[in-house]
Amino acid sequence: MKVNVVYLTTFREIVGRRSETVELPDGSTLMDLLETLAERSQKFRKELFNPEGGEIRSYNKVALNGIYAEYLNEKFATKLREGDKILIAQGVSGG
Amino acid sequence: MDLGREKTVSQPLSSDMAKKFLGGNGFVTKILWDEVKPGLDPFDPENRLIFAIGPLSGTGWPQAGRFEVGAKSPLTGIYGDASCCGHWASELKFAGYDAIVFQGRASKPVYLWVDDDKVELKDAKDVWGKTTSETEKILREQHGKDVQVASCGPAGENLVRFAGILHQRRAAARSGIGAVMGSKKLKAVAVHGSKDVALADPEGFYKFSREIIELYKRDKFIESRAKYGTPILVELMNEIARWPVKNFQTGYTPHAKEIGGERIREEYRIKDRASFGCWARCEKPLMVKQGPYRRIYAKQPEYESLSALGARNWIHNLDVIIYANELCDEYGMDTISTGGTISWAIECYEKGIITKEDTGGLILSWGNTETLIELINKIAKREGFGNLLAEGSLRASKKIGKGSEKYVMHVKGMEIAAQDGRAQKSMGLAHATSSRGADHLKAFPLLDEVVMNEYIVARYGREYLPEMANRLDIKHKPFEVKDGEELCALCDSLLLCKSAGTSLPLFTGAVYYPEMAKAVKLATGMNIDASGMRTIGERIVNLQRAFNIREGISRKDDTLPSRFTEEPAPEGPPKGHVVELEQLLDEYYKLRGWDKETGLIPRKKLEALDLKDVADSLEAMGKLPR
Repeated sequence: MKVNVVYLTTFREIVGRRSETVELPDGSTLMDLLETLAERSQKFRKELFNPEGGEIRSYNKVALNGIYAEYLNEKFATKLREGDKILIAQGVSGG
Repeated sequence: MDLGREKTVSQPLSSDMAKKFLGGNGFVTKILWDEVKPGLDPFDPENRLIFAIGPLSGTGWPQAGRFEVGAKSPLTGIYGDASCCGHWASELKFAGYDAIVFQGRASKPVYLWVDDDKVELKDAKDVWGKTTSETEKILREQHGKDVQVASCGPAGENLVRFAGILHQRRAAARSGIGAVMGSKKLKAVAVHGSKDVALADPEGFYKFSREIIELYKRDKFIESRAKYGTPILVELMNEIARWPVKNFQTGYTPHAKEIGGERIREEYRIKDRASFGCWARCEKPLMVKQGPYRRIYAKQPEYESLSALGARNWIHNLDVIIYANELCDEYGMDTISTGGTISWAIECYEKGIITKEDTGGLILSWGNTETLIELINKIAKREGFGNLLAEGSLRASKKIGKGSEKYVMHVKGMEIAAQDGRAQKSMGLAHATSSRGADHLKAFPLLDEVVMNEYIVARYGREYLPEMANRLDIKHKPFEVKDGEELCALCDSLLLCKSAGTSLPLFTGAVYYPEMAKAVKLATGMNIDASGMRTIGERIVNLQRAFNIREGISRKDDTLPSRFTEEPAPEGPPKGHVVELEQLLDEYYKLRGWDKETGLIPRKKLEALDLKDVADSLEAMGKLPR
């Protein structure tokens, strides 16, 4: 399964690109994707997750096809589908 | 300053005025209510033009570098104001003033020169007709490099109804206050000050100030603003389909990345600049390195300008948008109303309502960069079709007729900024209720913008979740807007930045009513508690409403274009949504204590806010609810 990931702000700087296609095993969840991305870079992991508990830091926002994870029925356990678009941003609001 | 009589009167600030209205937008509101008679033409010499700063101006308090300008608006015919950052506010404080009120009209173009206690009207022959940056350059050459200048450009001189006032390439843009300045033949206000700023408790103030600065320095939202400025919002708002495209026909474009903050930072940014006391330094001088729009030191367009001059007109050429933004700043025009009015004209042309006969041969089409530039030039100079557009989209549509009114994206005559209310219901309501006409900054509801659960809990309590954080759910949105309007009125009175300084007052509540009360007490000695601060915000909101009621505003005017209330959003997360405005308004008026049927303010509410005289005036006009 291939999904499209778009990075904003700090995450774009860490990853070094605006977007990429990521291949995941079928049945992967949103959290599986984030773990896959964090595995590649300790800096990415440190920026994305709280050091204790492994939760996403409150000022980071992850959206699946324009819907923030908090409003998905299964939240970060939502299963991804081929072609999904995931946005990962930090500290952006107010306009 | 009476411009007609060339007479200046200097008055001490009364403690009653300071305690009830604090400064900035509070002073503007009170003076407009007291001194501008209902029904007055905004271009009448008797309109007032008020520049005001606040009790924290010039102190170094973080994010308090703004000044406020107000007048009865020539665009909307109601209460009008705008604010601007830079170094003008602190300079006025150093000169020893809290506000300057202009009345009358000069017999020939003038500018005001304030040098501490010396206040002089000077002949403006060297700067009249000049652009805003030329004006600043000339007046600084004449009076010294430390002088701070706020000026109107050619658009203000030509009475473009959405002309603004510029300072250091930043704009007090909205409401057409630059046109009021032009109508008074007042080109600029140049200020130099050398006095100390007296503080009631200097040691306590700076200790507390340092604590707050540390909060700002650690804040992730400030970090992002410092790095990218407001353009960082472009791609995010596009992803949630809240990004106006083609005059709000939709909220999403695949081209957003071409004009977003990341691209600007990577390819155009030269450096960062900050206003007085600012930790967000969101201004980013840019360089357009090559091509016909090559520029060495251009200003970064804000999120709003990227929308209004860009996607709203289907333009995604960043070089062109940067140039168009520069043109608007040099002419002194609000980019939101400029771009909004042009996109209305393009849609009408697309639909055959406006033709080449109307435009003087110009062909209007989406994405036409040459036409965008030509129209900006024509609007500022009031040439040809530009003369019609210089009236703003609502007035222009009334002259064109033929159903063109349907496509005007406005509230009370003010063009709507870059928030599609269908994608964020709180913003839809905020546009409808804002005292200066369509505007996002009067309530600035942000807690639902990107799901701020933890801050909602911190400020209001867990019972507001999950609905308040859901931007497509109308539950709790009237409360969010009402509360936001009062907090924003207070921020505008203290001249705290709501954009780059957003996060601590408007998200986390880390700089909230108690902190503002403490800062004001340490600075001025005024003992107003947190509850008193909240009341000041509510008082200002109600007095602005009273001003508008006096001008004939009621519930019928708290409305939105039918595109938002009847045409469902066509794509993205808000697909199928409209703004359920009537339900939102019912609840909003109830929370405000206003009459649900008319939107008028009962005497009881006004008296509770120590505005009995206002109630008496409205009663005499038959403008209290029955």
